[in-house]
Amino acid sequence: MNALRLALRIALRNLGVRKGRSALMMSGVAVGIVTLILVTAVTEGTRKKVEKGIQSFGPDAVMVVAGSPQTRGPGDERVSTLTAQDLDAIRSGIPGVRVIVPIVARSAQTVIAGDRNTTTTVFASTPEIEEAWDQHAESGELISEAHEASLARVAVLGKTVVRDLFGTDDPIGQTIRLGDQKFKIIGVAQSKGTSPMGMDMDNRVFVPLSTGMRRLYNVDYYSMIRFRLDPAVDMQRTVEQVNAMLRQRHSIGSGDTDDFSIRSAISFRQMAAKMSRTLTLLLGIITLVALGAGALVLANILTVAVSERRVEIGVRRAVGASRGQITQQFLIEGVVVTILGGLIGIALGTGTVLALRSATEMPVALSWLPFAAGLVVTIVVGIVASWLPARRAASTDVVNALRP
Amino acid sequence: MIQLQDIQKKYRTGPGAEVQALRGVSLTIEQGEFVAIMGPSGCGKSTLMNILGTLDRPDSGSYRLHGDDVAGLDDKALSKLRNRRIGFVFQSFNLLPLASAQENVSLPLLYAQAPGDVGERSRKALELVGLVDRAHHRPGELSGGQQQRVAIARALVTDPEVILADEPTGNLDTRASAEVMAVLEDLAGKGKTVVLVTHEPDIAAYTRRVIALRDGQVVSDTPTSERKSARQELDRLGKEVTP
Repeated sequence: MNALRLALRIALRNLGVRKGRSALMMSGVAVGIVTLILVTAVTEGTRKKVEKGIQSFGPDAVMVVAGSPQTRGPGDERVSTLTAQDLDAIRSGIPGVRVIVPIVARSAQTVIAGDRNTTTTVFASTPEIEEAWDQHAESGELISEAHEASLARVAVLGKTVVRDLFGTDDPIGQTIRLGDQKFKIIGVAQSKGTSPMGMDMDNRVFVPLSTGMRRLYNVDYYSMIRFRLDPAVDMQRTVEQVNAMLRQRHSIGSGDTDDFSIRSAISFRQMAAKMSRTLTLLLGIITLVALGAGALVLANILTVAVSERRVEIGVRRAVGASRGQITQQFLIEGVVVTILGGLIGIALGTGTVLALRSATEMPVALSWLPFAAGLVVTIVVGIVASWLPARRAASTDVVNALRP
Repeated sequence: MIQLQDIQKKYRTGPGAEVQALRGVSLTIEQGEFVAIMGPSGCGKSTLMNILGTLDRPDSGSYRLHGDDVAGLDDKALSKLRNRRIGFVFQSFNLLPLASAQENVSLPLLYAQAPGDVGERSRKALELVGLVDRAHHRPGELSGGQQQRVAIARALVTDPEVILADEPTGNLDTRASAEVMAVLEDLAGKGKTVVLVTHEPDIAAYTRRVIALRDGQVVSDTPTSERKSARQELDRLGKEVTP
């Protein structure tokens, strides 16, 4: 039998005897830890989702989209101010631009193959889109300079479109209709999943830029300009430079809204931060309130326990416990209570996170952080709450406590 | 061993009201003595006991234990001294109700600097009071006499020189009292200094020296007249120590 183990055993037995009281002492801390775990799970889940989105968007990519910053999707087609001159200005005037492509995009386009049809987004762009957007071919080929030069009626299909129109059949060599024109399918694009904005990036049909501008939509302006940046160049600075340049080129007066929006990893991160901030704040307040209330309840119950255990304290003092050792004992007992409460909270919190993950679309992720933080928090709460009761225990009047 | 010189102690019992509990007590107790401190309630014998046990400090006078002046010691040093040199036995036993007999006996070892094998030492202490077979019983499962013997084992476990017993038989019947006194008698026989407070002449008769207190002063200090042996008394009662 070891002295420390004996001390711990007696302390735990004290807890076990007053189960209701012990449960009350632990519950506040447990609730606090549950919300702490939820806060970090939601924040971490959102962050991971956004990071995943940024990876598929391209962490080094910048996209200028026609239309005000409120525009969603592939640009506002009524806005005609994003032009080839803008693209040239960016290419020559912004340092670090590696590869740049113009895109004319039209959403909600009906595409027909045989007796089947589906609704998709058409992307008309140059062959550089392969490098600018990692838009590789899974099978067949991609749009070439020759296609571009000849305004060829060829198309590369995203996987969602292939599935909707051809099921499991091989689409290459087959024909689709866009508007009143027929296009030959030359390739299938690799899957890109969902964009950070929540769009299916596989529900796309790619055609040559020249074909899209002249044959399909008859426009001389772009929906989007996308470029990739040299990793050594600061993204935030570049975004500011492009913004200033385009505002000047489009003669936008100070105070007026942009007729374009710039999307980049930075803007996605800002968006995500805004979304999770409210939730984090709310859950953070609940965490603080629960832990604060837990500490208060604990401190009160411990104070009662100290006066109930006067005889025990007196005996311990008589057999050789110093005031410091009595303080230590009650601090440890308080911390044991909060750690037990914390463990219950960790179990409940983890259960809640797992349930949320399997039952809802909510982005949640488990990480080691809330466990480590939870442990530290419970110890701190335990020490803070037990401090005064422990000091009170240490200053117990031994002579009176031991009087029969 | 124990040297008290002109010990004074006053208590405040209320605003402006004071009680002079001890008025210049001086006495010397040698190692291995078996001493009873007697007197009516309020005579200051409990105060004297608390001062001997270093649970209370005198207002003036000096207390030397083993030649060391106790007045100069801080809380930590006093705690260490109580742990190593003094064993307490109380009228109401003061055992932890949630701990087994052996765990109660082990309690002082939690605060010992070299606790050694706690299980072995607490078992040996229980052996000395004849309660090894009750090691795993809670206090509530033991008789009063057995509880007090567990308390004595607790007082013994760190092998102190002095055992201080404040009315150790106050809550016990004749037989259990004789059992407890027999254990204390044995301890004194083995060289421990045993000081007990009592107001019962029957109990004081088991000791070898009786110090009588009245109104905070020593009024007599004599060898016990008509000395009895608790062992023999137990034999006379015709039963063994274990129930």
